[in-house]
Amino acid sequence: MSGGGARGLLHIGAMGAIEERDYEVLGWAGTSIGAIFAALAAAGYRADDLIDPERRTTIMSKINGLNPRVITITDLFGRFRWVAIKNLRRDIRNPAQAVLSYCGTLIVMMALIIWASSQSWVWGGLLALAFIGLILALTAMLLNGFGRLRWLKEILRRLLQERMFPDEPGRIVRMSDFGRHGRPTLKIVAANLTTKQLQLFSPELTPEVDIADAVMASIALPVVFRLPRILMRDTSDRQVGQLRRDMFADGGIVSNLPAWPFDEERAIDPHVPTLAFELVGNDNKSAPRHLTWPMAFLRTGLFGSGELNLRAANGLVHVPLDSQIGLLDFDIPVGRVFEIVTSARLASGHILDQVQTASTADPSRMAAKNLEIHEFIRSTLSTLRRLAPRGPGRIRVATAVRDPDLRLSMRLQFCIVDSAPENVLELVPREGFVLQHAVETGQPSFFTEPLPHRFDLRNVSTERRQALKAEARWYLVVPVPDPLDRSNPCFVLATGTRAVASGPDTQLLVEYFIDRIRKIYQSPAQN
Amino acid sequence: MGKRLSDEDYRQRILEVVARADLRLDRVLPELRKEAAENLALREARLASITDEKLRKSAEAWGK
Repeated sequence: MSGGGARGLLHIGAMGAIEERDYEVLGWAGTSIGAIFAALAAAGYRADDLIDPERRTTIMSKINGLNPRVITITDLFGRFRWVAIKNLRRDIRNPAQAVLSYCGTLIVMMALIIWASSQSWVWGGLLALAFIGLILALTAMLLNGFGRLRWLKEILRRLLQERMFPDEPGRIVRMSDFGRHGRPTLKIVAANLTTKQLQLFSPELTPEVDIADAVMASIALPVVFRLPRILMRDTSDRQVGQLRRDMFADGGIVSNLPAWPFDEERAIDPHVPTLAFELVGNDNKSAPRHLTWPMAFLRTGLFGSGELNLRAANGLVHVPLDSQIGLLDFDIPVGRVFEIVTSARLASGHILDQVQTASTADPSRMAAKNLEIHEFIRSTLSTLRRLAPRGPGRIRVATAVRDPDLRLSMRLQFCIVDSAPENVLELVPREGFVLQHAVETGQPSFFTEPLPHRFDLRNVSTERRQALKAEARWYLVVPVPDPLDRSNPCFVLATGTRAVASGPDTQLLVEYFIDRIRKIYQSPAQN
Repeated sequence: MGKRLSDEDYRQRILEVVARADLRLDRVLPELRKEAAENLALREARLASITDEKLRKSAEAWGK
């Protein structure tokens, strides 16, 4: 779950979409506002516990019970702190106006000091001192941050303890409490200003760290909040094991979309996908100008690297969530909050249903078409022994889809092997493989081993393609309408492990196969 | 060992086998298409019910 300030509301909708589909979540990771929801979800909170648009209830009533001074979400910043943050939001939205107004105030003050000095040096000096004091106070406020994290930290600590250890009041929930006893793991990203490096909090790396501390470290956007310090164990060469207070800032400046912390888990278990929910959106889409470039620079620095987090594409599903909410719109009316959460749940669900990996609870809907194709090929090859003298062998049918983020490969989905869905979400390279031929020509093709020489790309061979080639004796690729009515090119890839005879009869049978595959994949609109 | 079929007879045999497999397909296809039509209608209804314009657009744009 990515960072994105008040837009984090959308993560509650994403949580709801995951729950509706009964996904078994093995781990949560988050940055900034995403860290709050990742921690709550990992602790066992459900979307409806946080905001329930149907019952029109929110977690604010529970929070109010924990701290009666907190009535609205903006109270979490600390008493009277929201006013300063609201002014900051106004200045961020109109930076040119803000610069002009602050410069105007500066000029007026300077003029006042010069005028007062011309009347009396004492008054001029006092006014100058007051002005310098004001500037220093404002600078100190900026460096100290407007908001306070104390209330939020206490509330989060209580919420986690009540859900995970209800019989142990006062217990601090730590990183080591996750990823064990059937609980999902939890990973939180922050920027460590002491080590000047990205800090990943996880049960393996920082078992002793209080979750509330880690979350505060991740959300501490400079100027908006005072930067927190956390007791950390020194891992440098000189003082291994010594405790040290490190200063932290918002994780968004180092990695706003933390999908990569699960790279190792994906390598161990490549069939388990990672869902990356990214809060996109931009308060100000206008092109940067001479006076407004610093905000564009800051925004690019904070959120511009999201693309890099998606490079490890295999098994990663990117769910971008755009919204009209601004970064600091924590004061939107509660009715709008319900509306946004409902919309986010529907939008996330819509995207997740399009991915429909074979690892989801009900792969049957889309896999049904491939099962029919599988059965058709298997039954005909079983009967026509002259064409398939050693029987049909192991037949595999899958749909190859071009994901928008993939340039060199295609994703195999809805795999059927030996009449059963195969739990796999696999990327196959296009270049040097039969899929590339179908992409280029847009025509169905049938190949038997040994494949033509143009597929022998020694320098760009990949293990995955070699593995497929080692197993298959024939390949059938048929372009079909996208089963999900997307505009993506889509192909049915059928392979078999037993050789088939070559000749006109085989060509005739293949034509029947192609005809039937197209018939099965015809979109409902065409009937 | 049975008598080896001539090429013409074997082509006839392919047709018979394919026609038999087709019969099964004809039984299954209407159900598949009905389900696909229902899924499509569900998806469209769900998209239409997203009231936040930007969220609707990001959901519509996914995969395109």
